[in-house]
Amino acid sequence: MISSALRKTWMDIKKLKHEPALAVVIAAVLVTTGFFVLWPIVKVVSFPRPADYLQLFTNARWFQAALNSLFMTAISTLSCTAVAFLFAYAITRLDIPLKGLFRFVTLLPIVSPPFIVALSYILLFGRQGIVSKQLLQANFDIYGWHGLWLVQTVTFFPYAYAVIYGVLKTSAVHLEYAAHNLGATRWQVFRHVFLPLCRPGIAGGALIAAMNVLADFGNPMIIAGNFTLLPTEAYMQMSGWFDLSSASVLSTALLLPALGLFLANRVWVGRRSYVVVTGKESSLRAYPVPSYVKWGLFACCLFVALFVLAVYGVLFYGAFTKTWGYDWSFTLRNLKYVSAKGTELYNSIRYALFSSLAAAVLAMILAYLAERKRIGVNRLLDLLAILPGAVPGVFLGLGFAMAFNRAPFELTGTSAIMILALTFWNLPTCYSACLAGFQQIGRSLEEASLNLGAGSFRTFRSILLPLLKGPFLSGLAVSFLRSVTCLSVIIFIYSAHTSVGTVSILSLVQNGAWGGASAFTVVLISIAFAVLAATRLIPATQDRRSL
Amino acid sequence: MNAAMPHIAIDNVSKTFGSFAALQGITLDIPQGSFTTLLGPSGCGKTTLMRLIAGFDEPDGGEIRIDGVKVNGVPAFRRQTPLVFQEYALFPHMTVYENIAYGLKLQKTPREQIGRKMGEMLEMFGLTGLDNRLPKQLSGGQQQRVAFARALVMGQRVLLMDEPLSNLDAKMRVEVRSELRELQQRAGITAIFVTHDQDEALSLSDRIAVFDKGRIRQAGTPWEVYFKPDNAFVADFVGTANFIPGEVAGVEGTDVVVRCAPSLLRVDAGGRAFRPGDRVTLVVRPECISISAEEADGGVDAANSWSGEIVNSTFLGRLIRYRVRCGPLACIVDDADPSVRGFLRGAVRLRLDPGKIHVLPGEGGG
Ligand SMILES: Nc1ncnc2c1ncn2[C@@H]1O[C@H](COP(=O)(O)OP(=O)(O)OP(=O)(O)O)[C@@H](O)[C@H]1O
Ligand SMILES: [Mg+2]
Repeated sequence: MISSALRKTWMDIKKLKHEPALAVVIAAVLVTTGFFVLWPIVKVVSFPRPADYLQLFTNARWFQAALNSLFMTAISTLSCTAVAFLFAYAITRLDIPLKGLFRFVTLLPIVSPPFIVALSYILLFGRQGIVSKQLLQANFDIYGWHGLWLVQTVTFFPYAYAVIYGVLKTSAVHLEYAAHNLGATRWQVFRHVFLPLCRPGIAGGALIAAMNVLADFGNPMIIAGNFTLLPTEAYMQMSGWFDLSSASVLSTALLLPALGLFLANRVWVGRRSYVVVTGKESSLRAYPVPSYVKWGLFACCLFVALFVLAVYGVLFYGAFTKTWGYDWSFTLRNLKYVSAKGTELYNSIRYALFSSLAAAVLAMILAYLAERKRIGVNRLLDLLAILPGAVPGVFLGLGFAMAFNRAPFELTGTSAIMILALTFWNLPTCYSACLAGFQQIGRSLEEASLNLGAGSFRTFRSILLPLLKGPFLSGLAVSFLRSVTCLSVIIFIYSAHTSVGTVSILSLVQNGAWGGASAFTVVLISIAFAVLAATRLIPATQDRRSL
Repeated sequence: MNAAMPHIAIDNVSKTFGSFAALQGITLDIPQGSFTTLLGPSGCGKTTLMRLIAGFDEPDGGEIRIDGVKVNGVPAFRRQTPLVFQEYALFPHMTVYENIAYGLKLQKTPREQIGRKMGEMLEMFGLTGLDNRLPKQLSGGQQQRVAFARALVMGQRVLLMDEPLSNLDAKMRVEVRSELRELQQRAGITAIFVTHDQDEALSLSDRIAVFDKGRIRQAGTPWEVYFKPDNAFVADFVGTANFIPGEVAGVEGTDVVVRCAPSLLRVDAGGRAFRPGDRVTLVVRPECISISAEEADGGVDAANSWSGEIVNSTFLGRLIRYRVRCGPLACIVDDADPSVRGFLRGAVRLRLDPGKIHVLPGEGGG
């Protein structure tokens, strides 16, 4: 079995001698991607001595951080999935008003900086919070796991929603009618037909949410307080003590469950199509549910939607308020924080542009080779392209910091390392967009081109590239936004000259300058969207929302 | 070039997917300028063979030669074997003109030559005036003509077609058939055509290769395949056949005398050697049996004249198909001229023409 597989691989590789240019491209892509994806991982994992890893169990603080990370992931995944399911069900199955608003609410958190919800949460419920101080005149400690739980739920439920929505949209309504026809009650149909059919979607959504919560750095950094998690603890070790070994141990401890979730996602849900029955769109209307259920669910959605709107509204308000909690009058003063950090803003946009462009181009080439060419190394290329998706941002950043800190690969403190790290962090996003694009283009189109005498490059350029414009641009747009708002990856690799907007926001938050932080965030997002608008990429962000 | 050399030679070619043998030991010679049809049920490997010829896949064993030159390993874009795809595979982002001219542009054909050839093609395929449309703005029939034009514009001597007519409606399919045949003969193209429609195969082809489960069960002219099937599969797949089991009672020169349930029949052995006592199967086409109402006196009970009872009848327009019970046998009989007599009922007399009976060795026809 194995030897015949190897033989086939060898045959495929041998066929490349007819297209030497293609062979060169494959070799180049393979070496580059392999180097930037694998080398940082190897560096981090192999840095600590084996004895250091034992500390994970002996050092009570670390052990607690690991437990906390798992605990937070577990409860947030549950709540994210529940809220996501609620929204997906309401939007696909119920005949209710305000669906447009609900859709909008599921999109907002995906296109904004990861820690924005945490920041707003402080503005709402913190010591000077608008709800806690003005409305309730109460003073409660919001830092800790409850706050983080709420914030993670609001931040990451849209990712789960995207997956679950995809499944519910295509799930077969006529099967439910069939079950009713056989005498099942509404509840029985829900339990026996509906839920089993969307189980893969729910599992997929839950896993996506879990991966994001586990790897998240921004929110815990801002509001977890003494509730330490693996990513924040790794950061503390680095920034506080410059302890590479401890940071590596903690990051590796984070990598393991992340890899587990990633594998589970690939094996259970990954490639399997979410479409349940046939490609035939069903035009049947969903079986009506009793009105108390309908309006009950509507009320829940509305509550969540209002909360999300409050999160963004308060941020905007905070940006133009004199002193949060004391003086609510309008001011533009906070913008001076922003103008003082022009370089950082410029860096944010610059790095995001370069890295998303590089990621989109590389992803396109990788997807083409892995999906369309029988070259013997398809599986390997595919793995390299998606692997960074399994690596938490903090780990990736640490990896780049450690892998490229001495000759001949000395990049410490340069713009190059920032761009490279963001490029490979975004690679899976662009890659999966391109891959899905390729899978939608019938293979026969490409064969028709070959058949008419076009070689691989010509076919790629004149047939595939024009047809893949959509996925390419959406990968580009989403990557751009992710890069502008990224904190976890760059926190270990930025220097005084290469600092970016998100770092400035974090330090404003840490200094309690809420107004400045809000203003900075608003400006950063506005610039990002302005760039997207200028390049006509806004619609592209709507296509892809998960991963 | 040697006149006797086949244009395309397929020599003991096999292809497996995982552990599934999609093609096993396929050998087929395709003469210069001929129209060869690969006919067989769904999943028998027709498309797989086409893809091997076009170079999209490589065989696991055996050789494919074009003009005597082995093409295994030659990439698809060097083979000059234009293919008309079943789903047409028109480039959705290119206009009709760009689709058809794509191959010419790849060859760096001079501009005015492209213009001339394109004019000819658009004219020939009735696409004039549609050249600026995108494929999705065309009807199915128009798309299909674009696909043909695109494959033919470079004037190559080979044309591969994988069920090109299957997306057309029944009437159009019949119209396009004769145009296609005419075009192929005029241009002297070597055509390989895939279909699972026996009428299409019989009406278009110089030669038919009947496929089943990755093997060729018979290759021959339409006449041979229809009237002299090598085995029961071919007899059954191409047209409708009655299979009448029997036993050889005697051999007389090139004829055999076969004992079957209603009577003894003397039929041509078709070049096969039989010995008395061999089990055989007689293949009789429904239209080779004539049917008439049982005469009052019972008629002459000759060896080739059987009496039977009609079980049911189906009106097919140009004929009536009867299912007739003759003792232990059930026969399908076509009455080709129904307008004269109308439906028959009850007892009937069947007459078999021994010259039109084909004998296969073994029970069930091997
Ligand atoms: N890439 C592949 N991987 C695995 N099996 C395949 C592949 N391509 C074809 N097969 C199998 O090989 C067999 C022959 O397929 P092929 O497409 O040649 O059939 P076909 O004769 O063209 O049928 P149809 O008339 O339905 O088009 C089928 O059973 C099919 O499932
Ligand atoms: Mg086929």
